[in-house]
Amino acid sequence: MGKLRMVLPPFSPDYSGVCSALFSFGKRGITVLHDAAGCTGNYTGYDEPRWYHSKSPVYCSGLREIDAILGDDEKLMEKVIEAEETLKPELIALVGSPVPMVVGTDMEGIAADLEGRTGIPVFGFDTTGLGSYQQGIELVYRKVLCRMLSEMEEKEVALEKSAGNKGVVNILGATPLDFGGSGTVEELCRLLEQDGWQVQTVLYQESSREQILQIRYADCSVVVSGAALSFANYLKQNFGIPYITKLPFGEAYAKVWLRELEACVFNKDREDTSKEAKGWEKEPVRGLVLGEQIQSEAIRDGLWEAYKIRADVGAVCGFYPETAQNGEVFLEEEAEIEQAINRESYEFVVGDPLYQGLLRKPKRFIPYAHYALSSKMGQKWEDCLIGSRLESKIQL
Amino acid sequence: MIKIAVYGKGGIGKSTTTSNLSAALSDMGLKVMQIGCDPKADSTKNLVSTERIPTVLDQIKSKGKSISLDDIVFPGYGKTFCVEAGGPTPGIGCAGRGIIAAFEELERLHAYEQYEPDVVLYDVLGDVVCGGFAMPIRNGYAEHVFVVTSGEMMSLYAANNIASAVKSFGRRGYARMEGLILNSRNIENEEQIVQRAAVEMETKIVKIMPRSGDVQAAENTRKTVVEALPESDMAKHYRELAKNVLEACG
Repeated sequence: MGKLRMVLPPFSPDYSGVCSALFSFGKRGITVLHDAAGCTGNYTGYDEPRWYHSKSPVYCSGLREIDAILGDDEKLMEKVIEAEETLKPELIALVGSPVPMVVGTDMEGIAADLEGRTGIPVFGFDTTGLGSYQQGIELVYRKVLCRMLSEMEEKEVALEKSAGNKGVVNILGATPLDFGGSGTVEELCRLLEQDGWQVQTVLYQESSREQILQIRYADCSVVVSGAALSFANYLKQNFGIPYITKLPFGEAYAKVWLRELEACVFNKDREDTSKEAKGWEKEPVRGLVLGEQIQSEAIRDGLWEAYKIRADVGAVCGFYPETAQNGEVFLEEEAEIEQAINRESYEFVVGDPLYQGLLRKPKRFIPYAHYALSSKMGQKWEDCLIGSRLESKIQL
Repeated sequence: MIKIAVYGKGGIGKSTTTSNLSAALSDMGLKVMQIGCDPKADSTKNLVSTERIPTVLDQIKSKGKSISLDDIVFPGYGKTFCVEAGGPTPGIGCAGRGIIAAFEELERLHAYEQYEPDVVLYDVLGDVVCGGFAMPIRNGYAEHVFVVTSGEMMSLYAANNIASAVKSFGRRGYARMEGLILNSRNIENEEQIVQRAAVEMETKIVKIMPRSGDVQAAENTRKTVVEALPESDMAKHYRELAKNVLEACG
C-alpha cells in the first residue's frame, strides 16, 4: 500500500516527458503516442500549455483491443508511413503507453523497421506511463540529441559568437512540466543577456536543426532540471562543455550564481565548488522546499542568500545524487511527502499548493506551483523567482 | 560475449540440451550464464544440482527494490551461472510480461557487466507466443537463435513459427537464425524430414543428437550428462554440439 495516493494526483508520466522534450522540434517532427486516446488526451490537454491553443504534431495511434491482442505492429507502421508521406517530417517519435507495455510492444524495433522503410530518423520510446516525466525528458536527450550530435558532420553547422559577449550558453532541461507558464525560462534568458552572455539554444522553445546542433559549440550549459544532467555530462565528456546547475533565484543568489557561471567558463579546471559548505552548517533547518530537485535547490540557495535561513530540499519525481547536498532527500511516495511536510522543525514549506492537503496542522505554506503535479489547477500559483522576484514573492 | 537463444516446442528437450550445452561450454573454459525463460523455472535444475533456485519474479515480488544479483544469480556446474526468470501461477497473470520484467531487472542490476559471461544462453519456453517470449531475441539480448526440434510434425511446426518470427524481426536488426538442433526421437526418416524442413526454413541442422538412455540416467541424479557421465558417447555429442554452436555463431 506504500504507493497509495489519497490526496495527491499522479505526477506527469514518462510519455508526457518525451512529448514535452520533443516540442523543441516543433512541427518538423511528428510524435505518435501508441495508445487508445487517453494518454494523448492527458498530454495535450493537461501537460502541454505550449500546444493548448494551436494545432500540434502529436498524434494518437488509436490502439484498439484487437490490435493489442494480435500485436498488429503493421497497422501502426502503415499509419505512420501514411502520416510521413503527407506531413514530410524530419523525424518521427513513437511513444509507448501502458497497453503496449503490458503486451510487450517492441517500440524500438518498430522504430528501426520504420526508419528502414521511410529513410528518416525514427525513435522508439519504451515509455510505460509508470515512470516520471523526468525519465521521459532524459530519454529524448539521450536518444535523439546525442544521436544528432554524434552523427553531425564536423562542418555542418558553425556558430558565430557575438563580439563583446562573455560567452555562449545553452539552457537545458526546461519544460513547462517544471515551469508551467511562469515565464521563468524567458526571464532567465533576459538576465543572462543582461549580464553579457549570448544565449544560444534554449531547449524549451521550438528550435531549428541548426540551433540544436549548435549546442556543441557553447561555452557552458545551464542545467535547470535534473532530467538534463546526463545530457550535460555527455556534452562535457564529448565536447568539453562545462555546466552549471540551478537558477538565479533571488537578487542575492543571482549574483552568486552569475559568478559561478563565469568561473565555470573562464576557469574550466577549477574544482567543483557547488557542493562545498555554504556556511549554513551550524544554522537550524527551518523550512522545506518540495519540488523538482534542481529548481528546489535554487530556491533553497536563494532563501539562504536572501535571509540566511536554511531549508531542506525534498525532491519529487526523480533524484540526482550528483547535485544533492546534506538535507536533500528523495520523497517518492505520498506517505514520505506527508511525513516530511509535517515535521515539527519545519516552520514553513515551499511547494505546489496541492501539498497543503497533506498538512495535519497549519503551518506557513508558500505555494509555488509544479505543473507536473497540479497542471491547470495550480496556474494561479505559478511564479517566476528569477532575480529579485524571489524576495518579493517569499518574505521570511 | 556470445548471446544465444534456444527455442523449441514444449517437451522437446530444450532445457536438457541447453544445460548440457552450458556444461560443455564451461568445460571448454568459458564462463556461461544460462537464463531459463519459462514459468516452470526448471531450466537450470541439472546445473545447480540442488533444489530449484528462486526466480527473478519471485524475488521481485518478495524483496521489491532491495533485490540484488545474489538473490537471482546462482553458481552452477563448473563456470556456469544460473538464472530463472519465473512466471505467474498457471491460469492467472501474464507470463510474457513476466519475461520482460525479469529481463529489465537483470539489466537494471547490470547482471551482464557484473558476471561478464563469455556466453549467455536463454532457454525459452515453446513457441514465440507473444511479445514477452520474443524478448530474448529483441533489443540485442540474444544475437543467435537455435531451435531444438525432432522430426515430429508439431515440433517442426513450432520450429517454423520461430524461424518466421526471427525473420520478421530481421528488419529491426535483431537475432539471426543459426540452425536446428535435431533431438532425435527415432521416428522413421527423421533426419531427411528435418533436413527438408531446414531447407524450407532457409537454415541448417547444426547437430544431430542421438536418443540415449544416458540423458535420463544423468537427469535422475539431477546432473547433466556432461557432468554425470563425462566419458559417455552422449557427453561427446554434447561437446560436439558446443563446438558446432560456437562455430555457427562465428
